Amino acid sequence: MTAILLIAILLSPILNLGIGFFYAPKNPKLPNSLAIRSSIIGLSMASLALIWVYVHGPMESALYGFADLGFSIRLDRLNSLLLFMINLIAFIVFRYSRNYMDGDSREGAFSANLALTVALIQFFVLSGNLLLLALSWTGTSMALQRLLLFYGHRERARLAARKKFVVARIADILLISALALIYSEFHSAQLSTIFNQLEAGAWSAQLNAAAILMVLAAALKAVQIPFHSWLLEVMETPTPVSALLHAGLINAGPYLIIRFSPLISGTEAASLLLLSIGALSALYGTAVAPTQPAIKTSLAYSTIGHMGFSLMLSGLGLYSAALLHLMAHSFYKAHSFLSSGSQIDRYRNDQWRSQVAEPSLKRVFMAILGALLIFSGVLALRGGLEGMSFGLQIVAAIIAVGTSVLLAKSFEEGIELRARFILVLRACLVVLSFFFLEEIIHLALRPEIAQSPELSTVQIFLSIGVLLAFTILALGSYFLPKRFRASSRFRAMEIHLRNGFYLSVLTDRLFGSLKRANS
Amino acid sequence: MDAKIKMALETACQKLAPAWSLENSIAVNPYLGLLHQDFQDAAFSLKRRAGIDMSMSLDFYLKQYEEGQISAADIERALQANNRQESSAEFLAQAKFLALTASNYELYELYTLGDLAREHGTKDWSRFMVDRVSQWAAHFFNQHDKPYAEGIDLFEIWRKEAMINRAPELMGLPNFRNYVKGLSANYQEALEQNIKVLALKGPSLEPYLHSLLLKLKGWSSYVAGQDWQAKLYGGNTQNLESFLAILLSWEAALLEGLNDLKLYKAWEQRKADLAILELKAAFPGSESLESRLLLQDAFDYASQRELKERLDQNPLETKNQRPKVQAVFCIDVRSELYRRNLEQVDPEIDTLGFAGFFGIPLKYQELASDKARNQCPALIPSAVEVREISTDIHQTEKKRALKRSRQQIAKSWKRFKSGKVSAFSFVSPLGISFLSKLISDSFGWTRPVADPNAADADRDIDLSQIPFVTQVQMAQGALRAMGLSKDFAPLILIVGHGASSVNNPHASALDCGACGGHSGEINAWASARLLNDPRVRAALKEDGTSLPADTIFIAALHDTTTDSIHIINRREIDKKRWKELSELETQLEQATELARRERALRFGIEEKEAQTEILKRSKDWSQVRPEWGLAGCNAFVIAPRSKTKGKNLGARSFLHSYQWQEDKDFAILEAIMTAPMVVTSWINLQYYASTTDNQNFGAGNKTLHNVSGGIGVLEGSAGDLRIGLAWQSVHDGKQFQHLPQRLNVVIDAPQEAINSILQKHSMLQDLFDHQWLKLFRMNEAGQVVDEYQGKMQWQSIEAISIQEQNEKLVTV
Repeated sequence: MTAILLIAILLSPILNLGIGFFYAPKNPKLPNSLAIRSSIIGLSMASLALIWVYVHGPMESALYGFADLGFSIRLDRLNSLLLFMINLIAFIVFRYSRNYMDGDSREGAFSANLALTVALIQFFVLSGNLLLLALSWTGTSMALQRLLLFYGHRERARLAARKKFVVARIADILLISALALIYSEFHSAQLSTIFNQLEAGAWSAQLNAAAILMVLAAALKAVQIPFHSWLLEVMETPTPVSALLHAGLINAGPYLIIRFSPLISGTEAASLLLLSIGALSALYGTAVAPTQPAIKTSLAYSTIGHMGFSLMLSGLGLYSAALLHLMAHSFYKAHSFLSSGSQIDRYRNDQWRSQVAEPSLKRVFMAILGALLIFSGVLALRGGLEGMSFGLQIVAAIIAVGTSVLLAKSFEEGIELRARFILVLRACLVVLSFFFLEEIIHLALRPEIAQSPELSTVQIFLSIGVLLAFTILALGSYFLPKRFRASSRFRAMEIHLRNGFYLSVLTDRLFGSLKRANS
Repeated sequence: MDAKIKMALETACQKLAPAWSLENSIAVNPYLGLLHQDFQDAAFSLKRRAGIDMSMSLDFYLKQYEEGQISAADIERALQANNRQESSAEFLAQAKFLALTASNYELYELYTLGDLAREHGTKDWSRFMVDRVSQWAAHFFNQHDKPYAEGIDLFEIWRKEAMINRAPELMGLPNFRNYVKGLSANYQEALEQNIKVLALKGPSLEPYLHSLLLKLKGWSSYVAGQDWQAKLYGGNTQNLESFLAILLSWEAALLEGLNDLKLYKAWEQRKADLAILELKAAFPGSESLESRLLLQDAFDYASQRELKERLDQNPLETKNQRPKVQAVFCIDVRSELYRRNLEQVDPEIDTLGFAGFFGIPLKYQELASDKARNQCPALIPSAVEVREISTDIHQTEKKRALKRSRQQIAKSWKRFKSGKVSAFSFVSPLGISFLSKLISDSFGWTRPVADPNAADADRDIDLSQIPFVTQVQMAQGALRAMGLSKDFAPLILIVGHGASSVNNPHASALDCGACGGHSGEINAWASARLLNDPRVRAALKEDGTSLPADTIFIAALHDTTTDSIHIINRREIDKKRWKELSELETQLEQATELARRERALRFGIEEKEAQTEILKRSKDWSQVRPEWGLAGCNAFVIAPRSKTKGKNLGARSFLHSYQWQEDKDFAILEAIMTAPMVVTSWINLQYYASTTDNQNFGAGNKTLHNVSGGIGVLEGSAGDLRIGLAWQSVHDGKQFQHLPQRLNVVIDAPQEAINSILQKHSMLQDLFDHQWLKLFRMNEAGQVVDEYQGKMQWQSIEAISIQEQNEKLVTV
């Protein structure tokens, strides 16, 4: 049965691979209709696998290769969940592309490339062996490169692809080095062997180095600053690519970390690095995103922030929370991109524009108090802080800060009573759902990912600093005196912020982006 | 300010056509500011100044010739009209040669100083400038809906920010902030300072400024639109001049900052060229352009031949009895298709064409909105206000509070969802909910964002803000202009139109242009309400228009995407008449079915799937071509329907009902020619421009669109605001769905009457005398007989063809 299931799960990736390699330009509609079918197969198989592994535990195929390097897939709770998500998003994206790309002169090539990319992510997620992992990691990025250059005549598309290419190759080198270190330590490339040995307490300086390299590779893949500039430019290619990229491909970074959580959590430096890189990018992305008038650009900044947040959660040892955030973000962002054409409708629906409330200190105190109340309520239901790691407490506090922003809004003047009531209700829902989902995902993944270790003093201090930074960013402007908000220094900050602190301008200069195409 | 500079500035700014935001976009003729020039001169000018093409490629025309669309006679005629001596065969041979040496066009790329800096340096400063200014403008206009209303000066704000923004310097342009700091905060003074730095003077000034505005034609047009709207409501703003000051500052800062001797020299040369180029000197590619424009003439003659063939058939007999129903539609080309099919369902139904705002230029205030929106043609300011209320008056306030609270929730929630830090609080716990949303949107069960045109079942409109006298005037004006003065049918249907599409930033471009890029529902409803009002009717009777007691006006909405028609004001109709209404609805449904079947052909949908597939398109979030809109439009017929009835005009013709015998002083004709006709020319030339040069006057590829604020789209990650229509709106992937042909206006009225109206309005003379539109006259039998030759001269078409034959004999 296991063998049959493993073969069944490979159907969709192999089919996608076939669509990618053997499409004929003569029949432009075929790749898409095949790919839709392939993703339906993938979706059903992934659902089946999901149930199977929860009942029977993880499974692994035989290894085809030599010196323990080669092709082998594994299915467990973690990756079958992710596989399900990827197939679902692929299904939606292919369906979307059918009419969206209709009439494009390279319609067939588009879907074929998309299928190839999906196939490689599927293999990446399924990898049971380091070689397959490395190959599919690089392959995905190569396939993406072709999609980014789908309109290769566009100068900006070529520039973005060039930046992306360099960043991706650095990430490749980092990952391959990390994997090589692991391989030489354990003399095995099978994930199961590696995880077993790690569990048994194997440890060495070499592994520490591998963990740090892996963190860096993941950070590059997850477009963390200051290597993010290419992501802001990839809307030079059709919307479905953006959707797949932001909801599927970019996840490879955080997923890698979660997958190797037993390794990462053993290295304090790696966790600290994750926490710092992630928190910085999270702050950056979330601060810049709302200042961007162009919807896709704003969404790209937001992705940088969310990937940072997910890495940061891993840095706090909350690997299951990181996965939850990753998956939630995928669905959210895929939808945001695919529906980005509705932005004008959103504006048309917003008919109450003159209402701008001045920030008031009283309101924000009420909001914070309200958020605390809601939290204590939910915590009381949950049975106090019992069993909550320090990291989770920090994250819960960040969620509380965000919730108080919502509450502050509901306490504004001129808001109808009904609206206030519903907004408060929603705030409660947010908090309840947070604890509920955290609990569920934690229980679901417990056998496969590292448990949150005790944080070291450095980590504790750092995470308190992070919480403080998030709080200041969210609520700080409420506490600034009106005079300061109108001052030229504050305005200057706004302008720098809107320009993303010039990080992309600097990258552009570094890459000679203004160089004439023909020189 | 120096008078010469001021003059050049004003001339350059007037050459930009206005553009509207996509929230309420309407079609605008992008050549609007060039109408005082001949079509061909304008084509040369735009090519020289900004590389914009006003014609298709030679290959396109040659293909049309090979496929028989353009005949040799058309080319002969065009040669003659352009005073060329060669025969069509000689000309074609030469055109084929030119087409092979493709480099003949694509030559001019250096327009601004930024372009020169790119050419003579290593960096594309021109692109950088476009990106930076575009980014700034997007942010600025996102904050300020109407800067003119707020008394804000664009340049002043830009300057303040440019003194802080470090991007130019970090990119390697030294001293940018300092340069800007040295400029006056007053835009006029800054303009002069910059002109001095650039050492611009004399005849090179105006062409250069025009080139510079065209470098950012998207934002320039949008800013021009701000000025246009201010002017329409009595203001006088110079936002475009202020915007130009920003562009000039960039150019001057480039010259100063780069401080490159080569650039200085190139700039001196360019200025000298600019002055000369304005003379009609040949330039690289001008030969090809000339041939292309000539072939465009021939292509237009071809369209005229085809139109004449269609119109010269005999119309269907119309019986001289009281019609069962009179249905008034918008002049829109999409109505032609539906009307023809409706008449086929029941020949006793008469249809009429009238501008879709039905004579009521209104401002509509939704129940829970803090701002009324204009629902009237772009040329007319809104005059009256219509408010949304609830059918149950007592519920209105309650309903408003409910709606407002919904909006407040939506707004706060949106802030929470994408706000600083709170975005994390949203995604972690609630992001999963988008799983179901992805699926339901994908299958069309839901739409990503609520339909902005959706209305509650118990919505009502309140006309009490309109003074009674105005109500009567409007009712009377509408009836007269629709040509309804006697023989009223028992049922008169007033059909506004709107389009349903999902996830389409250009949705408003499919809505009714006469209603300011909105659905025409409210206008139709208000019009019917007035005409049903007994008090209004009594007043009308006093003025001599007597409406039969059994005549009722029914408001309806034509959804042009699905071709279904839905009655809006059933509640207000006497229950005794509901039976008639249901009968009518059945017939409308039959017409819908026929119309869908006809439209399915154009989409390449199989007949048996026509009904469902067309509906699906209107609900599909991934559909880039929900309908073809006005693509294909090339004619405007101003005549009674009896003269066109039964003639298949292929959804390419605007139709305005008009009976000159009843228009004593030709005031109605004048109104038609100065308003609806101008609007049809805007639409036709917008489609024209988006087809001939989609990169410049079109919005580009829809799959790359990146909506910026509530204003418009970028193509991809950066660049100028893109105005006009998307590539997908004029092309189906295999062929053009809009053929660039200038509008043929056919009027059924005496020559003298038309002439005297032309004489009165120089703007109309410009349109025809400079070949932006073509004008024809219809005879009693509905045949096209006379062609306008310019300068008030007409020639009978028969004479033209005889003349041609003679010439042919001579040449043979």
